[in-house]
Parts: sequence; structure tokens; C-alpha cells
Amino acid sequence: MATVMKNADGAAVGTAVSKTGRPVLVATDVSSGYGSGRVLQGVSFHVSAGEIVALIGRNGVGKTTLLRTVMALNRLDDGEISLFGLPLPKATHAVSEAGIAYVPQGRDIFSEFTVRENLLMGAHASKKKEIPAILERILTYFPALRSHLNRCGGVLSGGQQQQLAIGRALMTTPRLLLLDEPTEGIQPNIVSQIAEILDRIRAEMKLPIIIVEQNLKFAMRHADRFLCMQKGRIVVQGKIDELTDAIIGKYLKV
Amino acid sequence: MAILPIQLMNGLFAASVLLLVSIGMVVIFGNMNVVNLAHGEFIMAGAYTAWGLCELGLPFSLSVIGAFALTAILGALCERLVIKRFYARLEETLLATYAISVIMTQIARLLFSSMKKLVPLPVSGGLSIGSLVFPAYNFVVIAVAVFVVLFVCVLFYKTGLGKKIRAIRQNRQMAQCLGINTAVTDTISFGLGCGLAGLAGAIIAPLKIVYPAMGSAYLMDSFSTVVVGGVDSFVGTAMASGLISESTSVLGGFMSEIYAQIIVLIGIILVLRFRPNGLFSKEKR
Ligand SMILES: Nc1ncnc2c1ncn2[C@@H]1O[C@H](COP(=O)(O)OP(=O)(O)O)[C@@H](O)[C@H]1O
Ligand SMILES: [Mg+2]
Repeated sequence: MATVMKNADGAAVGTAVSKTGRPVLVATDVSSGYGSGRVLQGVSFHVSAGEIVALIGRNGVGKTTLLRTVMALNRLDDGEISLFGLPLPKATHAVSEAGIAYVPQGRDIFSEFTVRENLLMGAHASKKKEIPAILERILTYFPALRSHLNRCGGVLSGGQQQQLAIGRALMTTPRLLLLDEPTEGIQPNIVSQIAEILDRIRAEMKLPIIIVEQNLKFAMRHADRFLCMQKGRIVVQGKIDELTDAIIGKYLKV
Repeated sequence: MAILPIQLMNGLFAASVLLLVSIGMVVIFGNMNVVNLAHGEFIMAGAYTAWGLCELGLPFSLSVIGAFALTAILGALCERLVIKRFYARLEETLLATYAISVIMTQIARLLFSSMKKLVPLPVSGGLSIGSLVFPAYNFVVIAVAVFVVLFVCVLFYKTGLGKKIRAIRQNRQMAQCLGINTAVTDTISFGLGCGLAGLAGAIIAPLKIVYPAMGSAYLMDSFSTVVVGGVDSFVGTAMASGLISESTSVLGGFMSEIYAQIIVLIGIILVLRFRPNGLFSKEKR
């Protein structure tokens, strides 16, 4: 059953850490926003080892803000976030060092850099000797990038940029991956390419992933669980096969 | 008779001076979007350092390196203690760097009084090209300017540190998301920009008089170069320095120096009006 829990104020809150799998990320009563405005209002959820969690909800409910808060790009007004049992660092670069990689909604490719330079920027903290092997391993997932290594990142198609953004994130050898709308604005045939890449990443890396998706078919194909947001709160969550038409109708249909 | 070659050669020398005094400002403005109003004072600090070290008996070349090192450290300290608190707020960085410029001038007055100091020319005599003779030190200045441009190009385009700084320039938040500690690179960039200003001060010290308020003259020059050259390439800075200096110098051969400067200034204003990103910057996509 999908669980909808309410706290004293009647606001929905998340479940506690699941019994299966080591907790990777645990967020408790997280509030945050931009400047003085609040977007997230007491969000609690967790991600366990090896699982893919879909974060869904209409436009503007705070999905991106939630990922940005985990990356320490938005300040944490209230609540706690822990990663592998340790408090999340306060500086974004330290969050990356702690093992979280982020593929932002706009992909944010370094447009003046070549594909290779973009990828290598992800591995800047690795030992020099190990970098070629890391690059080689990541490129096995992205044949489309291998043939464009010396092209400028800014001239790639949307689908290529998306792959580059995912590849660059993986170059940091993360322990948790955050993907913000990886299929947004991408042609259907490329979407299926990205889906296959995610399948391989999941099978071979066992990397836990939080994926924000408007494309429900895509989300349901990959995710083990879903978190559904409305107005800065998680209102429903559960196993992906518990994502019923009723929930979709209530929280997702525009 | 051979007025044009002389003007061209003098223009090349003036361009080298302009390039040296501007490149530190380009580094800081390009990488962190801060207009360093204390830029001229770091030039002054470099000139005083070179003067002091020469007085202590150090050879001029070591004095120049000392000036670079000392002003770089001073710049890094200013960034750590003051400027880093104001990033992304343009007016406040202007105020902060202006305050630093005033404080530095006053400290120089206290330490050295307003008396003018002279640094002897490290190489005297002239070198001849064909039938024309130019001061030997002019060639030193040109060589140092070429070296400095090559140095910053290699630093920014070939080293890991330089690539990180360029990544930050393109997308600061994304660079942080990949684990780049921008607080550290900001301090390094600011220190480097100030160090290059100090180096410029040391190199021009033998050509000018060293005094506490000497820096203000260079702020406008550097700013003009940044406006014409744009901030996204050092080659642009070099071309802008060349264009400004050569046109002033060549025009100065045919009319009074003042008119030449006015015409060039009008040119700069036109650039600012029609190509606000600079003449040599790539069009933004
Ligand atoms: N840079 C910003 N500054 C101020 N408010 C913002 C900013 N970005 C997003 N918001 C606001 O935060 C809310 C949540 O946005 P966001 O997290 O991007 O939603 P989602 O990703 O779910 O579409 C929206 O109401 C939006 O207007
Ligand atoms: Mg979003």
C-alpha cells in the first residue's frame, strides 16, 4: 500500500528508513528555499542502497529545489540530511566529495569545453594515473560521446548533452546519483537510448539514483519506489507498482 | 622621414606596457566578475617592492619576482579577509576594492612619505634596428609582456588549475557540484591577478617615478583595455593593448599627443556602445 502519513498539522510526511537495504541518504523534516522564500516545507524521505527512487509531481512543486538542497546549492533552513550516516557537508564541493553526483535539469554542460574536457572535469579529484581508466570505463556506456570527444560541448544535440551530463557525473565515481528530468526535451528514440544506459548503470554499478521525471512511463520503467510531491511536501510515497491512476489523477495530471 | 617605423616600434613598446598593466585586471574581472579598483595600487605596491629590493642590493630580475610574489600574497589576503564576503554584489565589490585602494595609498604614504623614488634602469644603452636606435630596456619590456601572455595562456589552457578556473567561469554552481572548491580557486585567481599587477609595477618602475598615488593612472588604462579586448581571452587583451597603443602612437606622429588620445578614447567609447563584450570576444550564443 502507498503510505500517506500525516503529522499534527495535517501535512503529509515521509516514512522512516525502510528495513531493506542500508540507508544511503536520509532527509528528515527538510525545509529550504530561495532567498527568504520557502519552497520545501518539512520533507522527509530516504534512499536505500541500490534502489532507484522516482521523484514526481507537477511543475513547480519543488522537485528541483529538493535536489539542489541535497547538493547544498540551496541553504537548509531546517531539518537534517545525512549521507551514509554522516551529516551532509555544508559546501557543495564537499557534498560532491562525499559521493553525490548531480545532473541538473538544464544539463549545464561547460559549453566552451570539449566533450573530453567536460568529462575530465568530473574526474579532477582522481589520481592522474587512474583517470584514463575511469574515462575508458564511462565511455563504454556512451558510445555516442566517444565519437565526439573533441567536439565543443556547446554544439552537441540535446540528447548528446544529456548523455554528457550523465557521463560527467559518473566520472566523479559517485555513491548516489541525482538526475533531474533526464528526458526533458529529448526525442523519443534518444529517450530509449538513455533508458538503456540507465539499465546498464543499474545492473553494473548498483548505484542508487534519485530521478525526477515528468515522463511517467520512463519513471515507472526504472524506479523501485516513488515519492510524489505537492506544494513543497511529499504527499504520497510507495513502491512503484503502487502508483495508481488515482494518485496520478490527483497529483500529476495537469 | 622614417617616422612611421619609429611610431610603430614605440607603439609596440607602449602596447607591451599596457598589456602588462592590464592583464591582472583581465584575470580578475574575467574569472570572478569583480572590477578591482585597487588594481593600480597593486601596481604601485609592486613598484615599491622592486624599488625596496633593488635598494637592498638584489638584482632587478629577482626584485621583479619578489614584487610578483609579495603582491600576489597581499592580493590573496585581501580576497580572503574582505572581498570574498561580497561576491555577486557588484556595487559592494566596487566599494570594497575602492576602500582597499585608499588604504594601500595611505599605507604607502606612511611608509615611504610622498617622496618620489627612482629605480635605475637595469639595462642601459640602445639597440639598433637598421638605422633606428631604441632603448635596450624597451626590448626587455616587450619580451616580458610576451612571456607573461604565454604564461597565463599555458596556465589557463594547459594546467588542471587553469581548467578548473575556466570551468568556474562558465558555470560556477556546476563546477562546485563536480567537487571544485571555488573558495580556494577564487583566492588563487585574485592573488594571481594582483601578482600580475605587481609584476607590471616592478617592470615599469625604472621607466617612471615611484610614488604613493601612481596607481590611479593605470586603472583607466587597464579598464580601457578590458573594454576593448573583452574578458574571455588573453589574446584579446594583447590585441586590444596593441590596437590602443599603436593607434595612439601612430596618430601621435601626425598630430599632438592629446588629440591622438582623445581620438582613441572616442574609439573606446564607441566599442563600449556597440560591442559591450569587447572587440575580440566571441559572440555569445
Ligand atoms: N532561482 C529561484 N529563485 C526563486 N524561486 C525559485 C527559483 N527557482 C525555483 N523557484 C520557485 O521554487 C518553486 C519550486 O521550483 P522547482 O523546485 O524548480 O520546481 P519543480 O522542479 O518541481 O518544477 C517554484 O514555485 C519556483 O517558482
Ligand atoms: Mg524542476
